Amino acid sequence: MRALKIVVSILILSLVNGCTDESPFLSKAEAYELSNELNLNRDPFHKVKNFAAIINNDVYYFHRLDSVPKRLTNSPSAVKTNIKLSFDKKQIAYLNGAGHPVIIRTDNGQILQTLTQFSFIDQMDWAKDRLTLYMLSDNVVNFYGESIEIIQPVINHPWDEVKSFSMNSIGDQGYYKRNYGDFFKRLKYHSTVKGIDEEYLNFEGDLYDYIDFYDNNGNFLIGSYDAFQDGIGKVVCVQNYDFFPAYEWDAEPMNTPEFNAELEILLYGTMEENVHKIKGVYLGTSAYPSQGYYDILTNVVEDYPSTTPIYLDWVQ
Amino acid sequence: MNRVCQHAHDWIKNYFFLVSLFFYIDSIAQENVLSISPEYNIPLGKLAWSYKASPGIQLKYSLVARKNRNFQSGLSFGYTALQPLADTLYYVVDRGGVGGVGIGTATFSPFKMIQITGTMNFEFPVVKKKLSINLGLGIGIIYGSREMIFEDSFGAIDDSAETVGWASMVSKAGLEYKITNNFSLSPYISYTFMIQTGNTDSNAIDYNPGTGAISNFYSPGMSISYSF
Repeated sequence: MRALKIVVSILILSLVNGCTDESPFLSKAEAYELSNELNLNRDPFHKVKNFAAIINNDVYYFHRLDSVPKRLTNSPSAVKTNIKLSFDKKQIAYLNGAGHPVIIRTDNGQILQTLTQFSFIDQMDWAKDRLTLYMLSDNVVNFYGESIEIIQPVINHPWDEVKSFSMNSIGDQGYYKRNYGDFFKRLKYHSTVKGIDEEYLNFEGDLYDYIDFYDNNGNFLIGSYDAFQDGIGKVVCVQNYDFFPAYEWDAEPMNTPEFNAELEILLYGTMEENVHKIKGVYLGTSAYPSQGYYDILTNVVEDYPSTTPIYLDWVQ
Repeated sequence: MNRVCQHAHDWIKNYFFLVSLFFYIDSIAQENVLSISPEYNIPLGKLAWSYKASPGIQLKYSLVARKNRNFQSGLSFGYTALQPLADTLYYVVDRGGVGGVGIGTATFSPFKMIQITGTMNFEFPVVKKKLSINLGLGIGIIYGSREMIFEDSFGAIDDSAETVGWASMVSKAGLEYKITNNFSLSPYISYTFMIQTGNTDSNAIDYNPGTGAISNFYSPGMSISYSF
């Protein structure tokens, strides 16, 4: 009987001992599927979604950077520039060949409005909390839609030039202006949140002439336009009202650079191999700790090149 | 003749322990039993990750104790070749970071094992001289050999061939049905627990980096036994 107990105990223990971790081996299809899924989920560019772009003079909407975009217009012979996506991702505004803003629906490209009352637009964008389009034209900020209370650029001389204007929805605004007789453009920055009302000649010793508030968190992007390269040559991102370059990028001329602070990705149009392409640059370190300038993680959208400059706008 | 005697002397000297054990048991044994047992070895645990159930065979010589006919001791020789689950097994390799997940392939040769086991069996009659329950225990050694090749999409290759010894312990339970006075049939199931032997000291002559690795398998089988 004792022998019986010993043998039965061993057989029972064997059942327990036989249970171990799950096998690491998979079928070929399962292994490839899992590998692709893990790589995709780790790729910061896979998280980029909801941006509009003008490619070959037609408007496209990308639900994801790596997805097939929806073509919203079919008029490649009609010039289109300066595309902007509304905060609710339901409307797109762009400038037509005559320089008038055209507003279309994001879901089907239907033209909603052509704003012939506005022209010679230097910069425009949607407000971040409502369907109001603000446009810088001839040193004045105009609105289409509900008016927003702002501090209009101060003009002291008829030949003063406001080159860039941007604002967020929490009372921050900024514009670059070149005063008559002054070679440089200065940033006039106002923040209701931080109680700042200052003018800056340069930032960290460099000169800039473009500003874009990319969210409502005290973050904005400044750029310096390179006339020789016909694009923005350098971009600096300021985070949380901390006037220090949290991110910067100057590898190549950029058209309509757009930054998302959560993903730490800069998206823009640029020339690659003699054609215009959409390019993303990961400027963070958590997903990919780059080993230097030439090891920065980038993603070029190869499937949608353009013979004309690419304009884009991104509302994640 | 001298050479034959020399060989016999060497063999007895080398296997003195087993020979002594044999003569001791023979002094108390009354009956001899020869068994042949085809069986099916079912790998468990990590062994089952790469190998599938495969046939094997056991040959056993047992002696029935003179004073207690319900007790048998014996020596068993077995051979098994576990076949790999597939020509190529696939796994995911993760080196971390963006693009750091790749595919690995594993190729295994058949796992050939020679087993030598000292056994003890206890018989519990159910129907007198006809049907009984058999329980057994055994300890022994297993020599196993196999080759494993691992390659991954990042270029790493690991090719290893091993022929190593394992210490084993076997437990067994079955039924014995006596067809005649001399022949019996015994369906059974046994469990083999094996642990790699060797030395973890890299300077030792019996260095084995896999020392302590554990494997186990079940073996349902059928014994055909002849008593004389």
